[in-house]
Amino acid sequence: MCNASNSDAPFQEQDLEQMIRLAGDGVTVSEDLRPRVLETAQTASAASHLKRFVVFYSLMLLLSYHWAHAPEGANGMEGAVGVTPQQLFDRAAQYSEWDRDGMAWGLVRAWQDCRRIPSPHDTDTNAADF
Amino acid sequence: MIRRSTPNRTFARSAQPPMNESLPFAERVRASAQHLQERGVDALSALYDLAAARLVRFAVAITQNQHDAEDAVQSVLVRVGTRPSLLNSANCPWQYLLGMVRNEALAIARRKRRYSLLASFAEFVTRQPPDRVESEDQRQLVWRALRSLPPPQAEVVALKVWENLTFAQIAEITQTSANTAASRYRYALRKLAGTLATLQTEVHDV
Repeated sequence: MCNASNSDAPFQEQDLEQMIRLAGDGVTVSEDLRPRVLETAQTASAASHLKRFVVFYSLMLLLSYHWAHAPEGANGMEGAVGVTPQQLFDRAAQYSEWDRDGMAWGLVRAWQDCRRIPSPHDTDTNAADF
Repeated sequence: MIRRSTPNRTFARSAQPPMNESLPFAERVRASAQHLQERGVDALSALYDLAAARLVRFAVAITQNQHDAEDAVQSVLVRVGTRPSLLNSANCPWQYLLGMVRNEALAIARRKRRYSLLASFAEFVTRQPPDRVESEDQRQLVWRALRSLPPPQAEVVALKVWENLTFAQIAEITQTSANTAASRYRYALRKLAGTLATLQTEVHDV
């Protein structure tokens, strides 16, 4: 290690470590550090709780608003595909009449129409198709 | 002995975990971290009383400045206080805490590049109890020698001598290999021995 093997060395390793240990024991902490740390932590914690509270209740408010203003009986379906259930059933009835495959297959084809991604040639919405 | 700061009345020691003094220090930190997780920021005072002085001592070795060291410790303890799971989920909370302080201290040291040696020495001197005045010269010399070390070597010395960690543990904290930590320690001791000899000669000449 440092110079334990050298007889001319100014310090032996153990002595040096002991000196460093004693020097470390002399380090003190400012008296105001404790209240500073605890106060800052309390403030940061409160701010963090407040932030979570605000985010949570903002989301709740947003969702509540959305639900409150959704048309009655729409079940959200018209928002997803742009058609109402009545339009869907009308289209299903048309298919079943044209193809004579029955209402079930008509409903399947009508539903597929609803889910169809508009092509470049089909710029209108699904609702317009209906 | 390390003198701890006077407890503040506003933050009395009301949230102390049931602590067995005979436990190794690292285990006491682990218990304190669990307590912090359970009780929240109100239990931070217990962790502060347990570890702050040692954390500041370690940070001083890196920042070479008491104020920056305390800033680093404050920043880390506040972070731990607001997110106790950081510490509680660590395998070795004490080493994790040392690692956090090291990173923060290095960041502050890089940011400020402030090495006002004389001011810092004055702080250490004025805070010593009267019965230690005779050993103060020696202590100052050691600190001056420590401050002549590059931070990577100083932190290894601090962790080895003050925290009694193995080179493997030091390597985890400093994100190096155990061999690198050991060689840094050897270089540091050799350099310290030389610097101390020079400083002592200067003092005697004066």
